[in-house]
Amino acid sequence: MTERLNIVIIGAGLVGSALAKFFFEENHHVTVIDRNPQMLESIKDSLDVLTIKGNGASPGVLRDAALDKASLLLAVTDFDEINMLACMVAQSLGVKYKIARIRDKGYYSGNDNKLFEEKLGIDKIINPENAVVKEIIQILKFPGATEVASFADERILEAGFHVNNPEFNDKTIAEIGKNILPRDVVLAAIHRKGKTIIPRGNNHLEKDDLVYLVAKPRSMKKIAYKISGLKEGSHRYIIYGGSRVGIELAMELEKLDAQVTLIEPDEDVCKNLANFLNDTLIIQGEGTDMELLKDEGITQAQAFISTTDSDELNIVASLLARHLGVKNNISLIRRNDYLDLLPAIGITTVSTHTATAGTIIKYARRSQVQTIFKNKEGQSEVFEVIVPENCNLIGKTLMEIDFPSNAIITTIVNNEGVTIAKGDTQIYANDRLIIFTLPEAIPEIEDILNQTKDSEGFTKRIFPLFFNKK
Amino acid sequence: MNLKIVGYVLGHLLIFMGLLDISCIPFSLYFHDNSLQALIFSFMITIVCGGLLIFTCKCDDEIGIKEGFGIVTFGWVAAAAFGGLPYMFCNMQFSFTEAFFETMSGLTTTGATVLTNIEVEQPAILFYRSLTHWIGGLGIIVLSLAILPTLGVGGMQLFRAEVPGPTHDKLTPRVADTAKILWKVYIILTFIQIFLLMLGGLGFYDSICHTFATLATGGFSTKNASILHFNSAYVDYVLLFFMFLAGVNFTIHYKLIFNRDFSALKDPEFLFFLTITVLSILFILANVYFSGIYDSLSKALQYVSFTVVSIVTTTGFATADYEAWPVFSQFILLILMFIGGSAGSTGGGMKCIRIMLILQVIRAEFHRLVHPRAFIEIKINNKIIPKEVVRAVISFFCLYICLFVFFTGVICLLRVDLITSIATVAATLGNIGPGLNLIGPTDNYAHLPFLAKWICSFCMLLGRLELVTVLILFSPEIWKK
Repeated sequence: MTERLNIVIIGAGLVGSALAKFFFEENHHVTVIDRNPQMLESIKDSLDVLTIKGNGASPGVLRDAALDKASLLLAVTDFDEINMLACMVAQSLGVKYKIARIRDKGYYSGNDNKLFEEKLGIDKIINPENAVVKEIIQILKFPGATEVASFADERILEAGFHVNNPEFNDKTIAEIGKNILPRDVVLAAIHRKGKTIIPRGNNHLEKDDLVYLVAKPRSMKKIAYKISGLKEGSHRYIIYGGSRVGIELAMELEKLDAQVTLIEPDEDVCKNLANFLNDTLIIQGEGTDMELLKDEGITQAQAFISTTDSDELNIVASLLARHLGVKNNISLIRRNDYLDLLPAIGITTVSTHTATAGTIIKYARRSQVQTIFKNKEGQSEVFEVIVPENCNLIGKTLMEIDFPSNAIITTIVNNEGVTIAKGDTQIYANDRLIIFTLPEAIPEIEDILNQTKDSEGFTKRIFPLFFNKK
Repeated sequence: MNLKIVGYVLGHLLIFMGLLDISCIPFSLYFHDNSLQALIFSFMITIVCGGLLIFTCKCDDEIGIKEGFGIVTFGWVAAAAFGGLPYMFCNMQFSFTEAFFETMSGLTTTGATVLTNIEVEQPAILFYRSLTHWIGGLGIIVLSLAILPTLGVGGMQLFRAEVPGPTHDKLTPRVADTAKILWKVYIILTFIQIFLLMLGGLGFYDSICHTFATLATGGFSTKNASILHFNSAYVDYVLLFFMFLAGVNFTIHYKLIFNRDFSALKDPEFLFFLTITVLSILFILANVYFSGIYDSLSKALQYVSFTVVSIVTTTGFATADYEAWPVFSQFILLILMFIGGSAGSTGGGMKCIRIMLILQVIRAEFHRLVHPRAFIEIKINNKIIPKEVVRAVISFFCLYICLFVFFTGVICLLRVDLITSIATVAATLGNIGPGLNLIGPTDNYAHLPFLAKWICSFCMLLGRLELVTVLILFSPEIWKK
């Protein structure tokens, strides 16, 4: 069994509940604090966690939550100041790891990180907008990708694509691997009609299959155009909505020398946008105004990203853009209910709370398991693990290992570089394996990796939370 | 307007002007010239008038917006009137008109002169003439602010009315401290330049006089042939360098000298100013060199770069007779007269920052044609310029052009030829000095009609105080109780 930790989460909003769910499912003791009893109620209904009503920054409330026995504090309310204050209190109570969600960049831009670490005791600052913008940028880099995750310091990427190229239709994986895919791209999984399979050589690909590929960034870019049937077009991006995500995205795209057009209906918001954006064309208007979109050249746009504060508006605008011929549509979505619905109609979704939760989990996990990533569609997961020194696998080739059929070792990263796994690849100690798997296979993988020469189990290593803080 | 407080502050200003008179006495004693009596007479008259004003208008009212405009404008007029006394006492050919013109030209750092033979004048008077430049460079009111702390109340009103530029950044919370900082920079530059000129073989007297005229971007020389008299490339380049420095915003110097903040050099107005200067030099150099006026490129470079910097910073020193240059070169110089130096410098003209803003406004208008619903803000250095500032700059630009056209017309009416009229108004409104044709670098303003001299004096005042401060006094609203 995994070692159980006491985790306190302050803030029961979207981010807080996503985190609570994640850590609860990993068998940790989770306590959630919020001022709003209704929010707590809805968490209590679905998860077996402790909920406390109160101000998350007040030392009394935090003591009630047994914060002094906790090893991890996640302060993720909507208020930066409360989050910072909570971390300060936690610092004085001796909590080892504190993560705070801080939205206002004014607090930490520049060289004030030391102040945060030493005085406020914040180990990691999570900025939700930042996290989601990073995700959007990754997706934009690989056109047609439904999602992109990076491993081994961004040397290896995993991405999902909808097959939209007749070249791939009705061919077996063996044929595709031989003739179409470059040698250093692994087709890790196929998601079709709600089911995910790890393909074997004799499986077929069909149109509109969602395939998950693992490759180096450069190969991924090449294959992205091929598989999604998109052409490398202009560098024009249209953003709808001057929310925090919209601004930050425009700023990031400006840095990449892209032509950015930002549409925002509100005049005061436009004024604020003009303050931050220098090369972006700001248009005051509705993103659902078809004439306006045409005038601003949406038909030549590389991507349309809707980032308003309303899910419904984002969806409608994205549908409109799709109707006008934009292939790459990204919508910022808050409600979990919509997240599964939209990819089916050709709209890529991103959400602040899953991106934030993802970043926090990524951070919380760094040790032997470097990264873990849950794909949005289906239940598949990708994780990165380091082969322990005394593991039984060492010295064997991949062919010799009896690996479960619903999991696949995709890549091996070591000092010599990144190797795309083939049957004759050998495993050495301290190699990093990037494994693509369905959840059913996880216990079996743990068993295989656990066959060590001494008694210490791998499970303890695979899910340790901050065993070594660097 | 509360005339009492205006008179009270003016009284202090006159005392200060009187002090200028006696500060020339050491030179008078050293050179044994005949100006001692004149200086002492002017000192006494000025001091007595100042004392009377202070005595009669003594009050402790506050300086409001209206009073601020009044104090600055009347202050400059009074300073020019009383400052002209030494000339009148010393040179019997000088009428009040000429004395007023010469002092106004000095204080506004224009450098236009009515003296036909400079070298026969008394050395102490010529020093006084350069001193008016130096004092006027950063503004006489701001100086009295820095020296007389009792006037600190409402100081920002005065500062705003006197210091050039569309916006006013205070370096320190107190305006008097900001004034002190600017003067500190000014004095440091003065010492360095005097030292460098003396290193080049100039005497102390010539060094100090030319330094005052350089850093104030004035242009008065102690020689008939201006800088050509020294005929030295070293002197030319030293002067060129310091003229350029004087045309740059003094807050940049402050940041460089006191904070060692080299990012100040990335200031967009500085870069714009530098670009304009360099481009003008290149264009004129090509134009002049290929027309074969100078036989060596280095000679051409020396004369062209000096002239361009002298005109663009609105100094007005002369080494070359640019009227012998091709017409296109003269045209560029005429355009430079309108652009002028940077805001917050001692230079005149419309100031680079305003030209930059106008260019941005034009660009934005074109942009709007292509994207009718675009939301465009005017930005400089990635900072939004408030709408009011943009509006003020556009109206300043229009007003400048209107006044230029109007006064050119008036001078034409006085039967001065067209080119001379145009150049006269451009050179006085922009505080440059030499113009074209009859007032070119080898000529002077002495032969202009009596009325034209008064118009010139008024233009100099308008240009130095950036139009609005002076013109607002013609509005009846200012005079309402």
